[in-house]
Amino acid sequence: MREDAAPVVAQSAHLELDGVVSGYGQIMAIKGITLQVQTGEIVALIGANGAGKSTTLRTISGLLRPRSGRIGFEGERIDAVAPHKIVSRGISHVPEGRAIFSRLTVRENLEMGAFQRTDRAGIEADLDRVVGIFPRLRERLKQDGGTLSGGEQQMLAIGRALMARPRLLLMDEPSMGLSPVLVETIFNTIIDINRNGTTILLVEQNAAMALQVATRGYVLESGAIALEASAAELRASDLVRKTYLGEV
Amino acid sequence: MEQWIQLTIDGITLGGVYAVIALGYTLVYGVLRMINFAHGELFMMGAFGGFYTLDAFENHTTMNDSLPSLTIALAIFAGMGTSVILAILMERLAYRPLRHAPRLAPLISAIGVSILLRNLMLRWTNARRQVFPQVFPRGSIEIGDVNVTYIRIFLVALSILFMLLLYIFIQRTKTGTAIRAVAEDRDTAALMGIDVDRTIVLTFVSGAALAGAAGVCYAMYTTNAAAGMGFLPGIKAFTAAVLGGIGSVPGAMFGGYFLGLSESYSTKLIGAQYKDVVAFVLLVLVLIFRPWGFFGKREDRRA
Amino acid sequence: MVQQRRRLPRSLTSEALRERIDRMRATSGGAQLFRFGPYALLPLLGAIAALSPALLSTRLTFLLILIVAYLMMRIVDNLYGVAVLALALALLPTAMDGFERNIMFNVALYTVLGIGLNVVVGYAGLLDLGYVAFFAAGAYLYALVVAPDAGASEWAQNWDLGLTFWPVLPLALVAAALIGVALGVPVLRLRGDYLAIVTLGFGEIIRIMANNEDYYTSGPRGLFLLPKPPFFGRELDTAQELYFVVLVVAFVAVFAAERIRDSRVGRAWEAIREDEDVASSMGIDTTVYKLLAFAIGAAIGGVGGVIVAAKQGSVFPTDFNLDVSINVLALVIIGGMGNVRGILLGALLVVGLPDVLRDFNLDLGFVTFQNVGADYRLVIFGAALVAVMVLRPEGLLPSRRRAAEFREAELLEQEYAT
Repeated sequence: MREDAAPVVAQSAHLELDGVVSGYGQIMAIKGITLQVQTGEIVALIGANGAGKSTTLRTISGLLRPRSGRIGFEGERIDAVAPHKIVSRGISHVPEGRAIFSRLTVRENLEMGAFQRTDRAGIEADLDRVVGIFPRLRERLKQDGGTLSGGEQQMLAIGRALMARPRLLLMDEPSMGLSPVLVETIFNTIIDINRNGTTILLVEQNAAMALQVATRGYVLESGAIALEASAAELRASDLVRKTYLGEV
Repeated sequence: MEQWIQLTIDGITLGGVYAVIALGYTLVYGVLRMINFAHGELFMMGAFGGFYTLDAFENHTTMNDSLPSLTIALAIFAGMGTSVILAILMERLAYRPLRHAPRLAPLISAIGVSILLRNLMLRWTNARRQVFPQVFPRGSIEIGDVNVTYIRIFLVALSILFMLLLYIFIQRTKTGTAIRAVAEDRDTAALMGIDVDRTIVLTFVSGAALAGAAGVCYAMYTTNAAAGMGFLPGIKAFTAAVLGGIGSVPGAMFGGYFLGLSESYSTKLIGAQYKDVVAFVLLVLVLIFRPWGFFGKREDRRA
Repeated sequence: MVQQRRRLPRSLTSEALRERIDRMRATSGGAQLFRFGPYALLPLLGAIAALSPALLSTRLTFLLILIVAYLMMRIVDNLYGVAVLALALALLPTAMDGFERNIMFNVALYTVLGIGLNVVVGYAGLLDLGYVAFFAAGAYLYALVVAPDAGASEWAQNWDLGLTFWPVLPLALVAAALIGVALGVPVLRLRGDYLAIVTLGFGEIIRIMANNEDYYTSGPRGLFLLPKPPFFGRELDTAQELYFVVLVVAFVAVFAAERIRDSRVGRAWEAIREDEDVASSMGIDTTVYKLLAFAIGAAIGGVGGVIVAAKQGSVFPTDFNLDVSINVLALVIIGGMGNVRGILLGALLVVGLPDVLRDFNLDLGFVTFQNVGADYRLVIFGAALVAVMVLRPEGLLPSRRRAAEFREAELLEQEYAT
């Protein structure tokens, strides 16, 4: 879709966080995060439970307003933009735990993903494309979202996010609670989505999987960036191997 | 036997009104998990919107005689408009600032809005009932041995029409789907690009439009409007919403008719002076034994 | 979902917040400086009261008293400050005319009711919109068991119990508490907003029953010619004498309520109010404590009912409409939930001020509001309830704890863009 879809470093970063502090109430779950995602990349954000990964994504998509710091996307500041407007700027968020609308049908869930779009034909075409990527959803279009299995819900959550035609996709723990086979499928899909031109910021606890598909990665520890490197370097680093890949 | 048929017709008429009001409670509850205590007052203000429209036509034109269907339609629209404007104001001023406050706060604020509107109208009308101009054609049809007035048929038909329209709006349109999405998960709805604030306002507006229309029609049926007219129907409609399962659209419709009929039959079985008690007793019984209602999903009651 | 996520950080932040507030209090020093303020204000109050009939219009006097009382309550933060206030309140009626004494009686009576409702709403966090039910129970009980006259109900005539005011007081206390428990049992499992509407229903049912019943209540004809309280061979029948009775009751109620709040029971209520699930997981029997709140609140309301029946000498179903519950709720909330000083202020503002301004006309040039105090009081209360919730949810004179809870919610709110 975009000319510069190849994973090369662009002049200005696609997404840029600069000293972002954010959290809930008095507790700041992230304490000054600086990171960049270049156009066409898959960037992995790994870290332990409670390191601030989800908070980072929720702050980017506007659900949380940063206490301080700046967030830029395609050269414009977005840190004071309402969440529904962030979507129209080209960022979609696949939330943690999938957050399917369980009382809406699968089709309605997908249509909600395209809420801001008005091109009926385009929406129908994208709906076809999504059920092409995830054939299991096609059979279940009329079922309530709540009746799907965990894996199907994850597919629906990703499909729903794609319906907005995002240029940047934020994914929060897509592997959570899925069988190894399904994780494999989902990650293959992630690679495909990226190849089709969508930049991806991927939050994962499954560091091994994340670093296989990512171009670069950041390690988040107690709300701050502890390490930043290419995926290959991270896979080789002692810290990551010991702490996140479970090797000794 | 005729008496029972008559009571059934009474119950269906009243039940339709309760059902239409109940939809407003259920919609707002669905998106905000809040009981809009002032909803009964929207019904009352709608009735006054209709009253002043018809009154103006009566005093300044002859259209109430020459074109009653037009003036009635305009009165209903005026009632809907009045309620809608008030609903937007109350959401903006009294409820939105309290969206993240402790639960008790929006509830008390809503009670405040209810007291404010009721007493404002009480003063405005000098505590007198306002008698509607006789616009709706008198007369009735005979069904067997039972007399059914035109206005009653109109009321029943209109309530069914409004419920159908609302049902289609909620189930079939994109905005309606967005309302359901916001009801289920506000944050995720925002991530879809849904403007949550706007959707909540739209929810209030839909409920208010129904309440306003119901207010005008009910006041035409009883031939007068009064500041206190929203209180009991408000509570009863709330009961109806709870009976059906608050948050559920078909539940509110069912609850409305169920309550209307129960109330109507109770005038014969228990005595007319206790008919207002029936709603409360039903409310208490349902809340104790089946708080999710007949149609609602069983969920954490403290959610 | 949304709620769950909020719950965790909330409990984490509340401690930090409370610490901060306590620190602010400790360093401000203002409270220390004004420690003896109330005593200085007392002669001032006395002077106003003594000089007022000669120098000032009575309305102005009342307003001044209100302002002084408010200042005192702002500054005084403990029980014995309240005692000073009591003394002032006791002296007041000596310098007043009958109309004003009546106002003071009503203020004191509603303070009692406010303290009772506050146990339910302010301490335990249960929104009760049918408080009038207990008030009515006390009043009807009095009318039924005192020596019957021509205006008594058939039941009272038949039984002729002939009790006097004083033994009826404890009787009403117990009876209303039992009714409180009886009404409480079925509704206690309900969530806050459901509870509100069900209690509202109870209040209305009681009134409708009283209106339609005849043997006990004489229906809409009401019960009248009830005896006044006897007092060493004479009867207490002036507004001033009854004012002293209700003042004593008010102070007993204040004392009892404060003691209970600071006890184990009070802490259990606080836990329930903040988070019922957490409270019950900490081993607090929420049912028992909620019922206890209902019973205590009801008992105080019942006593209030006895007093008002004795003062009016009559009981009618229309005395117990929804407006009574609304008045009491408004004074508790406007004054400040969970706090006795707030309730005093609330009673002055919600019950006293409208009476003082009964025939006050507000001329805005293009429109004139006539009889603001009498006709617009409920309009103003409605607006005030909204305004207090939006602008100052902890009320005008909140308890510290309550203020912390509301402020904390506000801080959280800032984090949310949606």
